[in-house]
Amino acid sequence: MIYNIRIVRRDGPDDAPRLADYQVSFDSKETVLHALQTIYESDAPDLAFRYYCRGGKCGQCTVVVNGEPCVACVERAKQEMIVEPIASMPVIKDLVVDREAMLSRTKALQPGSGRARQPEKGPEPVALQTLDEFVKLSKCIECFACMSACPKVDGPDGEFVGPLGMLWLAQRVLDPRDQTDCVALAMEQGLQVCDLCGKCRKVCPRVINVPKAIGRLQKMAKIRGKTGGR
Amino acid sequence: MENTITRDRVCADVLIIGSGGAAAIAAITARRRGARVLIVSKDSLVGGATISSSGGFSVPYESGDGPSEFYRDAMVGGGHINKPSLVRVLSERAPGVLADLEDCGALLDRRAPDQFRIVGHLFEGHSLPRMFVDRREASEECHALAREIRRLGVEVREDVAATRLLTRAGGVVGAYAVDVRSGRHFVLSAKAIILATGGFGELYRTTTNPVTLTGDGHRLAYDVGVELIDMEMVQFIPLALPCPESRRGLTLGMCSIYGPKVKLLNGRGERYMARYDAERMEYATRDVVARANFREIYEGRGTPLGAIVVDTTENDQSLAAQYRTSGPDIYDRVAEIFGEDAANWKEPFQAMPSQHFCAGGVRIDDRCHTTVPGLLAVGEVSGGVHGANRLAGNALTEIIVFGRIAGESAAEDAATRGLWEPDGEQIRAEESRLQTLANRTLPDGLRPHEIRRMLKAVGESELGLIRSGDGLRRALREIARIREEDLPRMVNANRTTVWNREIVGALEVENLTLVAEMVARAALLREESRGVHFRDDFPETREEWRRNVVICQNGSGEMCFESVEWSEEA
Repeated sequence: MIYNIRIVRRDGPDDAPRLADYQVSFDSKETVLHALQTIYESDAPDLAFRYYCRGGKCGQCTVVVNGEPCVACVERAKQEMIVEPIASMPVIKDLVVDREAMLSRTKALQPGSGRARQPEKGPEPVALQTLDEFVKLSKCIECFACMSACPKVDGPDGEFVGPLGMLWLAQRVLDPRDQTDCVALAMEQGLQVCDLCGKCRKVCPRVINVPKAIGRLQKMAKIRGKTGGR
Repeated sequence: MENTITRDRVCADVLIIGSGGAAAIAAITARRRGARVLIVSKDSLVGGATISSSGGFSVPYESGDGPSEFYRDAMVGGGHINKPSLVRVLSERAPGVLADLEDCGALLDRRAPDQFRIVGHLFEGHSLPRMFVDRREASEECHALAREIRRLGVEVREDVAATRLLTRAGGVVGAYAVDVRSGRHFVLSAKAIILATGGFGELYRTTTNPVTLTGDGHRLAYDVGVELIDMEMVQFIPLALPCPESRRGLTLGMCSIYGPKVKLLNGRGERYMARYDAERMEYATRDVVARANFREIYEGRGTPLGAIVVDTTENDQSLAAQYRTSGPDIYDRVAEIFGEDAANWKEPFQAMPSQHFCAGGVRIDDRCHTTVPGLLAVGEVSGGVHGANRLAGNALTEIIVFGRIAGESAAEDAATRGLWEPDGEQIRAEESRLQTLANRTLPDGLRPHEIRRMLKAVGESELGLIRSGDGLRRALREIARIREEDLPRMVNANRTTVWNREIVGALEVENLTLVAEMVARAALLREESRGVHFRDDFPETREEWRRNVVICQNGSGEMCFESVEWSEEA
């Protein structure tokens, strides 16, 4: 099958994007990653894209295809497609972005930070219902598709930390071992900016209901009367 | 060409090369003991084979189970050539690995509020149920470890490939590295260096492994005279995706996750396991089932797709949902490629065996020290823990147990060992080697991926599940041809410096070529079949081969082989 692929390319973080068109041919069941590999091997040895596990687990190959962020090693290639880097992150080159700024901003939000060292003999008891909910939310592969899709995320320094940071805080609220006031943390990170539009859920490869989790944080903030008129 | 290399010097107490689970635990442990830790990896954190895995940890947890039972199973599984002292350490420390992970911040899956989730139906070489499986497979552990590393202030440099170890006075004192993001070169100096680079799945066309596992650590170690062992012991998982090409080899696990009445059928509809293991049938250990699957396909009895059929339809379908939770990502993969009915046991699906794990590697002692001072190794790059065959779940348990030991040892070593000024001559030599690779353009040149494909073909046909003297000699001729004719013609088709994967790709191909030779020569020496190593011309296990093949480079640069018995030193 013939594929017409346009890639939005950049030589470096400060360079203007340019459009590069490629025509390649491969089996119809192949993935977006396969398309990128084929182009790399046949036409563009300088094409930059990141991938490691090939199995939809490491979350590193996320790109935007025809406007929708997706995990390239899982997503089926489209016959006509425009491939771009994910939004809201600085571009290193072509489809490779730098996630470091976002990861260091969210260091204090990430699960595991607010708990005391565990006793020698584990594990600490966790109600199974709570655990089920926690497992659902932590199926995340940190692919950043939600961060790319979110219309409220405005770079690593924007007011709203984004759906991923909020998802982490929603997990921590469920973890009985975590003593941090995560609702207050969420408010500091722009909890109220989110209008629950649902775009993050739509693009999540793990189909995590992120808006529901954020909605719950918002409700908790409201109950506490801490919304501060924002 | 003008020399445009920018070189930075970075110092640390402990340098860790690699960023999978073993690297992560080692980093956390060394950091908690006060060492300044630097991680460099061409992969992401926490990636490696750990994030790709199905997340099974083997842990003696049930009553009646303990270190001695665990030890016995690992030795039986390993064909009794595992290094006994390493297995003893693994067995004694295995019960603590899940608590160690929660100590790093993970919230692991439970079957009761205060009991970890051991599933009852996964044995595969274990005599008792001891498989911890998380509904998120290994992602919770990987993410928790990455976060703990960031919190502790470990310096992490992703997309940096170590290209050579630097030595001084008979010890390893640092490494030379290239940053893929910028094209900059680094000289890394450290008081202790840990190799945690994983295995070499990329030697095979069909593999469950991520693309970064290219035998880098094996090569780095071999170049400075470190001994390697059991390199012929390459394990395959019985079931993996046969298509599409870009996903070929991704794991579909083993029969035990597909219900008690699962059947394997060949292209003619025959239930062939009766010919290979009439007693255990589909539930035989993974080496036996993987080899049977391979032979059916190889000898022309596969499906038109070049696969075998996994028939789950005779199972009690009310059990499907429960079994699905023991390999949720695997079942999702089945559903995605073959349809939801295949994942619900209503329709059969197709699969093929796939390279999964390298049991051999860098020779280590009980404290993860290699045979050269200053250098430690941990995880899949090391050898000895699993002998001739690894039991299910023992790899993840190994990386936690030995990752911690490597971190402890490195922190201790760093406290007593100084920082050495690296040898300028070695630095210049390495820089010039990399420059030659980067600058080479030839009219009839080959790109790294083209040579890699040839190596993968050799790996798949001759160094895989069924080997023979003739096949191994054929492989060695082809490897020598690649080394002499193709590697000198390898060109850099990418003239840019930022994110140049051609240069790293070239280094990976060189590493794979070396590792392929080690596997082929060790496999040729071992004139018997044991564990995952099967010789069609020597199908029996021979008592005189209850020993290990050690590989080392001698002073004249030749690859030397020696066989040893652990009992002498254990």
